[in-house]
Amino acid sequence: MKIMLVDDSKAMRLIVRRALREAGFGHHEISEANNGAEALAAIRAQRPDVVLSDWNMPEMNGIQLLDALVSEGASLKFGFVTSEGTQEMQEQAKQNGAQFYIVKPFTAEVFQEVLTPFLGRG
Amino acid sequence: MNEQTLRSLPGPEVLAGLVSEVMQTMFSIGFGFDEPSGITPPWRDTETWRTLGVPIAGGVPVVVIVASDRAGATRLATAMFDCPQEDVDGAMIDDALGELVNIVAGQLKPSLGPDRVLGLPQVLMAGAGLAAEDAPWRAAFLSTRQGDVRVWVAIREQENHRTGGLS
Repeated sequence: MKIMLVDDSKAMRLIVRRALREAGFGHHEISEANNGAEALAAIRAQRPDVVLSDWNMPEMNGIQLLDALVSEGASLKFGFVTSEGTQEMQEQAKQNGAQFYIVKPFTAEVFQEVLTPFLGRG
Repeated sequence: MNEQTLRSLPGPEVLAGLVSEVMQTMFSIGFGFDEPSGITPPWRDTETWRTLGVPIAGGVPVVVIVASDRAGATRLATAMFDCPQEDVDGAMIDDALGELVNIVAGQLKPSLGPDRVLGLPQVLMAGAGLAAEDAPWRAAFLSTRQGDVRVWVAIREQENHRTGGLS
């Protein structure tokens, strides 16, 4: 499967890659984008199966990216990996079409538990 | 900042606990409370400290601040980027500290009341609005057992919130 990581922090993209690897998902093809706008263009070109996105980013944030993908009818699984874990934001994400929500700080075990339904067993 | 606002902000134990939790959970780096006496607040000593803040808008706007000295920030960046110390540059340090303060601010946000909005991490420089005032703040000073990483974490009212800027 093709996975895209969207986060304006290079450090966090590396940390998420590491968590995916430790959770047993390292064999999937992983690409990266620096913000929502960059991700939108890359998703149109690369057609990833799963997108893991930060919420708070410059230019286009995660929920704007999700809304844009939904309005385009994109066929992919989308979830957040974010420092913001309020109930309101999790509900908004779900209502707008997100399939999963991971709050930072996280562990590889959390990735395994949350993402196995979408990525299969490592 | 008035006394009522200051009392409503999270205390040093909460701030220190959040930094410890983030670093222990994600990087297995343990922190403990340390004694900050005799140390100038980091936003006034940019020779020693690198300081990043995340503004939180809504209600009385506040800013969450994390600072570390050069050696400590390099160690944090090494852990986050999983690379040798000699590969760490200034941009990587800012990215690492920015992500740490972003996570801490995200954890604090729910305790600050409804309708809060998290901003993006920014480098805080000496002489900017945030550093110029003597308004009180809530802060904690932490270090690793080995003493190789020292971290300030603080929260205070955003001084120039009436103009909407951070610095």
